[in-house]
Amino acid sequence: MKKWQSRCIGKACVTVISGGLLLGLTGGAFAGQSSCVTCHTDEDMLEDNLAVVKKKKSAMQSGAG
Amino acid sequence: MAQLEPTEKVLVAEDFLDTEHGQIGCENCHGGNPADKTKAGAHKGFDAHPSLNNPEGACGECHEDIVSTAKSSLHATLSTFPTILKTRSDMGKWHEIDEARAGHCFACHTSCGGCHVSRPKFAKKGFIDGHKFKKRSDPFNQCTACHGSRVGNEYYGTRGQGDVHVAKYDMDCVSCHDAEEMHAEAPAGLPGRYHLKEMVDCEDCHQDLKYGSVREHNLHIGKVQCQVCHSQTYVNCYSCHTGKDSEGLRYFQNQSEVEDLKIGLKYDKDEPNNSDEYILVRHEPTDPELFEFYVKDAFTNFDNTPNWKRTSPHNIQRKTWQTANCNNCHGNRDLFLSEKDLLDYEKKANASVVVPDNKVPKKRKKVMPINIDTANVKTGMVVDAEWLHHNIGKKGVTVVDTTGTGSYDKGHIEGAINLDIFKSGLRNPWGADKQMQVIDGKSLQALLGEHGLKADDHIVVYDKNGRNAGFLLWILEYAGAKNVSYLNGGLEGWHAAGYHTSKTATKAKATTFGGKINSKFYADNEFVKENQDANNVVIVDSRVIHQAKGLTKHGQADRGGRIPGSVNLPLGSLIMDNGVLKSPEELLWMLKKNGITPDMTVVTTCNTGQLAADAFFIFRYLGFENVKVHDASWVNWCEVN
Repeated sequence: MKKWQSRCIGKACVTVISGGLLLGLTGGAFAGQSSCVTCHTDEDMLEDNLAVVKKKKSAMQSGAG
Repeated sequence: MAQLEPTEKVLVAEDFLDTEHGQIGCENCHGGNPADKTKAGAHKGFDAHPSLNNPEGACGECHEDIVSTAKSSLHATLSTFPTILKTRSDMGKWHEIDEARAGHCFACHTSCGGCHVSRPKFAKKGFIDGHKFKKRSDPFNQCTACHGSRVGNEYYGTRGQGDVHVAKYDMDCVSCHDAEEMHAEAPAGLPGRYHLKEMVDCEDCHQDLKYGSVREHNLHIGKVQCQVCHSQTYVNCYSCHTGKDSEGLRYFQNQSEVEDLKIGLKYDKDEPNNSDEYILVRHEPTDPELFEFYVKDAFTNFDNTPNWKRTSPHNIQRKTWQTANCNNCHGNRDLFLSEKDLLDYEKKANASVVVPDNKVPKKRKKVMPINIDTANVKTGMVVDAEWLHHNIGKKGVTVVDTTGTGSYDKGHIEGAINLDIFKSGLRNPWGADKQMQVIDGKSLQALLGEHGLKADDHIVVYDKNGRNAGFLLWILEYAGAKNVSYLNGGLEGWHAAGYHTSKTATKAKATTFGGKINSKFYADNEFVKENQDANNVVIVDSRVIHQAKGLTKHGQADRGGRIPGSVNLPLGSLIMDNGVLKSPEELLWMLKKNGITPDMTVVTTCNTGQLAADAFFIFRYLGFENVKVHDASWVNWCEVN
């Protein structure tokens, strides 16, 4: 959580803004330049922002395939 | 296959950005709005599965040729499902039927991404390797993530001995099912997957068998499907007939009476490149009321196509029980589908698959004898439901339930004592000194006594599939019990024999176990290490093939791998999925084929000792005198070797 907070002003991510600006200027980007990867390569940030969603399964379920 | 953490599912590896695909902007394939500052905004219009929803746009711009056919491949469209459903349907209701199909049957489809970058949607998604694209599909995270309970379990030895193609030749799924087949177009109306001209065939590699040196091939090729002879005896899975339980949650069911595979007549006369008369068939879990929840009387033409279907088990061995002797098939009516195998509603549908008596090949008069000596089999170590029903409650007979506490509470054989092998403290816990090793002899005997067990009693143990019961049987023999037995087929076999269960717990009367520790049934790391190269000692690794090969590892083991010199014989080759043992003759023949004979000292090993203990019991039953369990097995071995 600390890491997320340190990178954000309010809920806005500085790198997202800069990435977005860059995209706007160039009209397209490599993945390495995309703002998406700023979050998606940061394990700690993802951990802080993703919740475990557990679906209830029938106890009688045995699998498929 | 372990579940991925939410983070692992979407964590992009830094080095992905250096790959060719990493040079393409994320939004070019996935959409979304990278310019937006918020998570919700950035993901607006985002497509997690672009190859599924827009294959031309996501993959086709670079891989045009592949996508042009792959977008209509069997994996992407499951096009044979509507074909078969239409054959059975009242077409006036097709719209509703098709809607139900899309909701259920079509849940399993996948596209480029599910084979080259992520786990398929059905397998709970997530990147295989940080979004890096793989030309070759991952057999564990991709192929068997969906094709797991049947194909994967057969191939890697959860059911049966595993498949020779991986055990001996390290072949994975793609070795046979290559890109040509996977990317092939499966047009609407394709009558069945075996009609796909790109579908792999055994004879693509095994050519000219008909004119080769194996006489049986000369006689059978072109008449009998290869798998009839080369797949192993096992029970079919419980399949995927969708139903709902008392809480309204979906589950899958099948009738146990149709679990066996059978030899049937080839019913599909239009199947290309196949002149076989006899094929292997399994029961497809369908009936006329399959979609009744959605559409009344949907399958008014159910009789139009069989639901005993051609099958290709992935548990091939060069030598199987069928190839051991001509008369293991010839004259063996039970192996061939007969009308009595059919449920009432499916008799007409399967008329063309049933093998009439005059089509069952006659017993041959002169055959080579198998020469398996079963004289030393300890038949009393395995009892059936009828024997137990007759003897339960008699003085000196104690019954132990090892299905686990929760299961015991739901129903157990009346009078059975509950002994949960995981919770009762038979082994040192994880993280403790000597983790997973069996506790010291005196404490063990005291613990068994607390559960009302005596070394002099006849102790009968059961569970659901032999995996827990086998462990306790080893513990009991090691602790000095003199007369132990396994209930063949376990609780399911008990039910199948028509006997009831009880929910009233049996209170164990604490007693003195007595007995003398049988240290000859125990092997530590030292013993294993000293005997790795001994000619008369064989180390039998009971784990599945992928663990024994080090392709995967047990969660608690320091590393993957196997004990040098060990022979991998997965437990599934000794006991079937429903806890039924194969005949002693078949088991001894299979062991002999693997170089394991009763005159040898056998040390069984696995990950923690449980499967090894299960195997121990079966070796003892078969008359092996010198058998030992490698305590805590691989987990323990890794710590010191």
